[in-house]
Order: sequence, then C-alpha cells, then structure tokens
Amino acid sequence: MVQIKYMLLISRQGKIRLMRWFDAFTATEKNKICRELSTTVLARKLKMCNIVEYQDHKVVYRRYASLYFVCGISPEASNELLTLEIIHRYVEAMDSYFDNVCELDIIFNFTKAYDILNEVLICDGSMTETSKTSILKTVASMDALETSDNLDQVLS
Amino acid sequence: MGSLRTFIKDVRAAKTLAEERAIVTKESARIRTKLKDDHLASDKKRKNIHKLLYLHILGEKTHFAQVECINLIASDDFRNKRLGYLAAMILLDEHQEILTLLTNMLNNDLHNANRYVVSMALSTLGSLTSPELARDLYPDVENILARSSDDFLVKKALQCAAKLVGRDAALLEIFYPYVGTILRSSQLGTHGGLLGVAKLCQAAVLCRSEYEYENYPEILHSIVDQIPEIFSILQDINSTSFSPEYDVGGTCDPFLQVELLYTLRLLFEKAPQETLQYKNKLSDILTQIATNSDSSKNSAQSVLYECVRTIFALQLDQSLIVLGVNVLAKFLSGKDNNTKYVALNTLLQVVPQEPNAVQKHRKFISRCLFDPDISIRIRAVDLSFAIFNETNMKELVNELISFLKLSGEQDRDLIINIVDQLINKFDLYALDNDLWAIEKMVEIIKIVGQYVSFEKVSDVMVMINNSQDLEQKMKLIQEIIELSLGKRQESLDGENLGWRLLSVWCMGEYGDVLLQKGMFLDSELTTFLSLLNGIYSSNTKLISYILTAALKLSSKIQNPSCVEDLRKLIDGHTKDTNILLQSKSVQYSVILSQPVGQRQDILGAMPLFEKSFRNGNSNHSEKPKIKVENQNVLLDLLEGTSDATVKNGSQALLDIFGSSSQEGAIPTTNTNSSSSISLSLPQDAAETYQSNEMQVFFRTVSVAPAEAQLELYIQGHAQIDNLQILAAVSKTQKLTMGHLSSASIAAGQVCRQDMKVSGSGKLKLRVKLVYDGASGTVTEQFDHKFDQSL
Amino acid sequence: MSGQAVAAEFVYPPRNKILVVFDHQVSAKDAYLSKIFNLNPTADTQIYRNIKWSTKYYNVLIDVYVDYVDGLKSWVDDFCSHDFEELRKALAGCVFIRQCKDGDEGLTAISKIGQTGVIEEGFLAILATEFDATQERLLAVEGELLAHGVEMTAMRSTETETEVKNEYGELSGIARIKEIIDTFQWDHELLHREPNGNENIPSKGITNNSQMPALDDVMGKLQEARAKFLTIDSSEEREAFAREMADEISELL
Repeated sequence: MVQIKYMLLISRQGKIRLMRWFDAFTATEKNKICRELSTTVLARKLKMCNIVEYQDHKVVYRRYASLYFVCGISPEASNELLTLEIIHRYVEAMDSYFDNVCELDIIFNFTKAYDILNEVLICDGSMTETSKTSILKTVASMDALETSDNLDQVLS
Repeated sequence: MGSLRTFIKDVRAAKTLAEERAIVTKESARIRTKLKDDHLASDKKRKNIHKLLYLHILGEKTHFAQVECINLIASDDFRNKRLGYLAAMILLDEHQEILTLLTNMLNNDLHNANRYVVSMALSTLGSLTSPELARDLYPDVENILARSSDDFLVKKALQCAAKLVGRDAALLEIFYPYVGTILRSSQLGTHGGLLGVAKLCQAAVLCRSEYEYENYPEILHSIVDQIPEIFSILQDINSTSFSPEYDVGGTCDPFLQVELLYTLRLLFEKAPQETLQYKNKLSDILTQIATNSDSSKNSAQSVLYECVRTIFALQLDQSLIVLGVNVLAKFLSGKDNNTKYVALNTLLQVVPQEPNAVQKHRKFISRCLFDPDISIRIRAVDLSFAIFNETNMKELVNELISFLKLSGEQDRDLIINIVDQLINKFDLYALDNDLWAIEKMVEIIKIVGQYVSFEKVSDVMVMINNSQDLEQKMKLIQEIIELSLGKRQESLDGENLGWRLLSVWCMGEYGDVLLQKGMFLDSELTTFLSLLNGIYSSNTKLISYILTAALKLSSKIQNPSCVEDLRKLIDGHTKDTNILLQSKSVQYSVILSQPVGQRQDILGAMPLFEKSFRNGNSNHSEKPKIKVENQNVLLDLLEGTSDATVKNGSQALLDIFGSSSQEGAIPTTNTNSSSSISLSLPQDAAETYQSNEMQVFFRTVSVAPAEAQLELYIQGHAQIDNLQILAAVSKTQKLTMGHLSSASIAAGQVCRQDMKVSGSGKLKLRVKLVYDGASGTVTEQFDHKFDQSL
Repeated sequence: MSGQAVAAEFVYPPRNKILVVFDHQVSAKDAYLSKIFNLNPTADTQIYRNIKWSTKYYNVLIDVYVDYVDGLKSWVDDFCSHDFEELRKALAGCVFIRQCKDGDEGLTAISKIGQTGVIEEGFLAILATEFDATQERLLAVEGELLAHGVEMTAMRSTETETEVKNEYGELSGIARIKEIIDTFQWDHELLHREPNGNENIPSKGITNNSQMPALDDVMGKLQEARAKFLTIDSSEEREAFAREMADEISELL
C-alpha cells in the first residue's frame, strides 16, 4: 500500500506549482519541506534512484519534462515502487485531460489539477480509483455540471 | 557597464509611466468590480478564492479565507460548491475551529440528490476528520453504505469510514459489517470499492488496542472470515492477462493487488491465531504471484516487491523466504535503480533470517558497490558487511578495496564507514594480527588514508605491532617506507595524511631493523622526517608522531650528523606555540641528552599491545596475551618526562604510541578471559530462552527515556566455547554491544554480555548465539520483548 | 483591496524586462533574438520596447534589453552592485547566450548572481550555443548551476526546429528558454488574458471532445446577449433582439 503524506509539483526553476497535504503539518513545517525538497530533488543526478530518505520518512519523486512530482510517503509500510506508479497514473490522467499537459497548463488551471488529484487520492493520501477512464469521467461530468449551472444563471 | 547604464536610465524613465498606467488600471479595475458587485457577487467570491488558492501555492498566508470557503460551500450553485470544497480541503485542517461551521453543511450535502455534491462532502470529511466531525457525521456515511447503489459513492464512503474508524475506534462496530457485504456485491465491489474495503479491513486491525468493547474478537472473526474472498479476488486480478481499463504496463491493477496483499499481511501479522487455518493457502498464493509475475516490468515489480515483503514479515516457510530472496536478487541484476534500492534495503532486513540465501547473490551485491548512485553504494556496503563471514571475506575485502580505489571525496562518509566496519570485523574474527588482514588495511590506508581518522590509523599500527610474523612484517614495512620515499612505481595522493602518519610511525618503530638489513640509508629516513616536519608544521598530530619517531630513531642510528639532525628537529619544537608539542619536545630533549645505552633501553621495541574491543563478542581465547616485560621501561620513560599520573602500563603505551587515549583504553587487567571466571546469576534476571545446551536470562539494569542498559546472562548446561553473541533491535533504535565476560563457559557456569540500547520505541531484541558445543558449531536464535519502552 | 495605498505599492515598476546577454563570440546573434522573441533586430538597437509575448493563456508586453559582453566576471560584479538595484528589480530575468565549456569562468560568474540572490524572483537562464564536453560533464555542470538557481540548456547539434525534447520530455535549447519565459510569474497587472483563457478550461481528450468548444461559444453568446438585452429600454426592441438571438443560438446548437 501507499500512504501519501503530501504531493508537491516543483518546477526546474525551483517554483512550487502545486501542493497537497494529506497529513497535518504546521505552516513552518510545510515551508521547510518545500524549501528543502526543492533543493534536494533538483540536485539529484540523472542516474540516481528516485527514492530519497528525508526526515523520518521517504520521498519518491518522478520527473516529467520540467516538472518534478514529489511525494512524501509514510515510512515502512508504503511501497516505494508503487508510489512511482501512482504518480504516473496521475500524470496520465492530466495528460488526457489537457491533451499533453505542460507546466503552463498546470499554472493556469491549477484548480483542475487539484480536481483530478482529488479523484485519485483521498482522505489521508490513499488511492481511491485506479481506472483512468473513471477518473476522467468524473471530472468531466463535474465540469459539465458547472457549465449547466452557468447556463441556468444566464437564463434566469 | 555602458549598456547597463543605458538600461537603468530606461527603467527610470519607464517607472513614472508605469506608475501612471498602474494607477489607471487599478482605478478602472476598482470601478469594474464595484459595478459587477451587485449582479455577480458569487463570481467575485469565486475569483477571490481562486486567487487565494494560487497564493497558497506560492506559500502566502491564507488563513483569512476560511469563512469565504464556507460561504461558497453553502451556495446552491455547483460552481461555488465545487470551488468551496476544494478550498476547504486545501486551506483548512482538522484542528481549526471553523470546522464546526462545516458540520451542518456536510450533513446536508451528504444527503444531496447530486452524487458529485455527496462525493465532495465525503472527500472533505475524509480529509478534515476532527473527532467531533467523526462523531456527528458517521450516521450519514453509514447511510450511504447501507442504501446507496452507486459504486462511485460507495468507494468514497468506504475510504471515509476507514478514516472515521481511525479517529474513533468505537465506530468500528458500525462499519465492520460492510466489509463482507461489499466484498460480495458484484455491483459495488468495483476496483475502487475494493480499495475502500481493504482500507476498512486495515483500520479494523490497526484500531485493536483502542477498541474498548468486548466484542472485538467477534469483529475480527467476521473480517478474518472474508480472507477466502480476498484470496480469490487477488488471484483473479493477478492472473488477468489484460484488462484495458486497469492495465498498467502489462499488469492488471497493481494498485489493488498491493493493497490487498498489505491487508492480508496485516491480518496475518496481527491475528496469527485466528488466521492460522489460512496460512498454507496464503503461502500458495504468494508462491504463485512470485513465480508468475514478470520481474522485468516496472508495474509487476511493485507487486512482486509487496509480495516479498509479505513473505518476510510473516516469517513464512524457508522455501518461500528463499524464493523471496531470489526475486530480490533478480531486482539487483536489473538496470532499474529504484528496484535495486528497494532490493538492497529489503535484503538487509532478511540477512539475519536467511544469511545463506542472501549469500548466494553476492555477485550482484558487489556489483552494486560500483553503481553510480551513492544511495545504492551505501546500501551495497551495508549488505556486504551483513553477509561478511570467514569463507567469503577474502573476496569481499578485495571487492571493497576495488570500490575504494574508484571512490572519491563524495564517498567520504562511506569510506569512513567501511574502514570502521572492516577493523571491527577483523577484531570479530580474531584477525587483527593476521598478516593478510594487515596487508589489506595498509592497502586501504594507501588508497584512502586522507579520509581515515587518525584513531583508525593507529588501530592499524596496533595490528602491525602485534603481528608475530617478523619476516613478512618487515617486508610490508619496507614497502610502506619505499613508497613514502618515492622509491616505487606507484604514486600517492599528496593529501594522504593517514599514510604519512603510518610511515612516520614505522620509521620510528622499525628504523633499526630496516637499517640493519641495509634496506635504506639512515640519512634517507632522517631527511624524510625533517621534510615532513617542515611541511606539516601546523598538524599537531603528525608532528607529535614525527617527534616520537625522531626520538626513537635517534637511538637506532650511528651516523652522528643524522643524530644531530634529529636532535635539531626535536629541539625545534621546544618553543612551539602548541603547548602539547612544546612539552613533548622538552621531554624528548631530556631523554635525548641521556647516555646512549639508557636511551636504547627506554626506546626499545614495542611490546604486544591489546586494544580495547568495541565488540565484546570477539574470541578472546585466541588473543595474544600482553607481554609485560617492557612496561617498566615505558613507565620510566613517562615518569621521567611527565607529571601525568600513569594508571597502568597500557595507558602509558598508548601515550608513547602517539595515539590518543580517548580511544578508550580500558585497563586490561582482567582480559585473560580464557580462564573463565564464572559469574553468579543475579536474583532479578528473568529467564527468556532455553535450549538443550543453555539457559538465557535478561536483566534490565536501567531504562532511561532514551537509553536502556541491559545484561544478558548465559548459563551453560554443557561446556560452551567460542561464544559469539549477535543482537539486533528495531530500526528506531541503536544497539551497542558491551563487554562479554567470557567466550567460554563450563557446564553450570555463567557469563554475561552487557548491552546498551538507545533510541525510541518498544524494547525488543533479536538475539543470535553462535558457539561450539559438544556437537560442533551451534547457532541459536530467539526474540525477546521487554515490558518497557524507550 | 482599496486603491488608496498606491504610493507604497508602486515604488518599483512591474518586472516586465528581459535582459539578454550575448558573449561576443556568438555568431548570428540576431537570429537568436528573432527566434526567441519574434522581433526584427536592427543593428545598434539595445532596447526593444513593447514586444508582445503570447502563450495560449495570456499576452504580456515586455521590453527586451540586449547587451554584448567580453569578460563576464566584471560585468557580473557591476550588475550585482548596489548601483543597479533598480535595473535588477525591473527584470523578469536574464538570458545569457554563449559558448560554454567545462570549468568556464563565465559560468562561475553567472552562478554567483544566483548565489547572491540579488535578482530575487527573476530567472537566470543560460543558452549554451555549444558545450564542448562529454554528455556526462554537461549534466554535471547543469546540476551544479541549478543548485544555484541558474538553469543552463544547451542547443543540441541537431536543433533545427524549435522543439527538441530530452528523455524526460523536457524541452531544450531555444524552446526551453521560451518555456522559462512562458512560466514566469508575471505581475498581475501586466497580464492580458485571451478571451478564452483561464475561466474556460480546455477539455480536450475526454469523451465530449467535440461538444465542449461549441458549448463555450454558446455560453459566450448568451452572456453577451443577456448583457445587451438588459440595456435595451424599449420592450419592442427587446423582443426583437431576443428572437434574433434565439435563432442564432439554435443555429449554433
């Protein structure tokens, strides 16, 4: 199993593009983690493994183009290799949604990136859906509802 | 410079323009929003929250937005609700008081006709589960599980229920029946639904200690009864060859497979009695998974890895453990660094259980020593030492040396670790005066001496000193000196201070033999010392070695001009600003002025010297005894030159040795352990283990918050020799093995092993005993849990 | 939120300038300017104003400053000095275009800007027109620079078109420089959203692929129509307008 304590999207320019905390952290802790992991992960060399021991837990990251998807996972029980697959599933879902997602898409549609993530991970960072089709269907249906609410309002 | 000036002028010119323009846009924006305010209030609210979420990502404080989130959630407009719930999940946490305002809204939305509204309410409750919210809203969650036929909502309700049970164990009573019903429902038991069921099972097992009612056994039983169902689902998915929706690189839903495996592992681990009847079947299934999955695919590797972890955690049959080790070995032989990393980590944990199975894959482990990834190298070194034994050590040491040859500054910590561990291992296997071991250590200092601490270098000096094979030893020393004097083909790293230290010491100790054999000219040695004396004038440690070497050499050479050079060298430090060097050189000057005959007495060959042992479990009986003949001479030397109170001979030895006494030179008066002084068993030692040949007792000396002192007593039923005690503690703790009172005991006698455990967590130990009994070498192993925790 | 506190807020103008620093040795400098910024370089011009930078989400007007340098070391010292604080605060970032080599003093100088942090939010990018070393060294140098907040991207020898991706799908060369500028966090006031920007989420790649853009259009029309409808006073005109719109929308659907 995998329990994700937090997920950060960090750009190669060292900027945080998305963060989601599934575990309770204070603002100071969050800042520290963001700062330290940006440096740590960016400094990782090409051939190094994607698992880093950090504080009292492990961090698994995966790089897609200029973005690093960084997950803090609970130590011991969490399966590091599966964490990589979860990240990949999320990226696949975004790729379909945005039709080849890029950093700029995420900056300008970050709430969508969150919406998609919410259909993948739930509660304290557990996976709730593994089918890409289901994930996308849900997000699309909710988007459609928004539009129809918009329609209602205009017609009122 | 010129251009930069032009640019700054431009910036200044633009500044006023920008100010004006900004004021205009600001103003117009203000008017615009004001106009919009009446018609589109919620649009504006949404925009504000949207902006705040963005600011949150940028690391800005956003606490003032809390009420705004709640307002949006309260709206009937789906757009508002969606953004409001998103913002609540991201900006709030379960400690905020504002959550009380959420209770009613969640309560309403959990009954909303729109499934997406219900789903958002469930997700929000799942991430912001305060105990109050859990208490107030569990009936609404249960309502969904009991009545809904919508698999989308049920999967989320299950996850939410698991989280609620985690917050309040008493709620298990409400939710546990749904494990069975949903597991069997063809409509609701989708992959998402099964992930939820798995979470709920895990929560049920993990809340055991907090569940206060008496019916826990029944609940556990009802969950254990579902095991056959979980088995068949797991087998089904594992054998599905292709299912487009759930396929991940040729593996069917690895996410669900891993989740189910982990659930089974928890059940079997925490309820060993109740699950006993299913254990064989579990072994069969794990065997199937381990044999049938394609270990070359990433997605299958994550399942295999979980499978192997389950095998190890449950201590299943030896054949299964061997199978698990082989799976990991395959990981090691591949190219993927992530699988190598997890394989090394996991093998490290299984070595105590199955040393031989791991041993077989040494080639792959050694190959990882040369991996470009430092995290792989570190683990490969740890694992190499974990499987280190008498039969493989020669090869292992050679492999480590080839690694050291390629290492560099970035490996500093790893190098230090290797040297420490090697010296310990040589101690453990009583090889510390074996010429092979000495040669290897000398070679290591030659390669990486610049990283090795002086303490470790002096450990090597002790090894050289204690070697009895004079002829071979002198050959080695000749090589050391030749290399230092640049008389060999090889070259040496200029920063290698460890090597300098070693060669200076060799000149001082063995200068006479070298000169007698005509290996070197006396002037070569003295020039070398003077040279180093000039280069390293700021290095106290090295200079103090040089002083001692100069003093010793002065009594061993005839050439008056060389003696004079050495005298000058020593005198040169009598006004040294470093007080330690100053006093040393003053003392040595005094000795130097003594007649030659007396000097030679004082400065004769070193006696055999016994180190204190970091590992009390070394085999003392084969150790050379301390020779005491020369100690008086040494004492004289010290008394004549220093006011220091000399406790005993070995302390003095350490001083003249130039090695610092912080090394921990414990007075070695009672090291003669082969005499087997038997101890008596203390009253308060509790029996923890018994076998045909011995009884084992533990006594807790003290348990401080972060450190416990323990004593382990062994009473032999028959003669026990060459006793070695190995022990391990959980990962959050560190174990220091202290003194072992005796490695041999006769029938009825008792010996004691001191131990210190530091760290945190429950105090438990795995102990392995290796000894020679009547029937040959015996290995015994047991686990012991103490009542105390750190 | 009130517009009164203007004075304090606008001590510095928004960061809308990009400084391009060429090494003298680089050939065909103008080609880089036109490829990156889509502008027509003229000899001796060092300041290009109001260049339109467009992405699929926004437009922004930027100024491009161009400098030519021989020895970077003293240039960097000047640039980092107190005298040029105002300049630095106006910069979205710097792009250094140069031939790089292993152990290059220029690279050390640039990473000094990153280390001192004088450019604050601005980006520091190096476009290496060539990098004379092994691929392994190139990666190592990139890593060292990145640790100081400087991103180096090398032109691949094969770079003919704009988009060349590495094994992570990351763009390199000119395309990456453009992406760095794209993803810069421009001040809010500078951004001009395209009409179909932020609020209308692109919904490509999902089931209702063809339907969604049409719906967006309909929505837009409806919004406009409603706004206009509300402004019409005469009831006759209002009705006529409503009928007209209804026809148009039904056509669209």
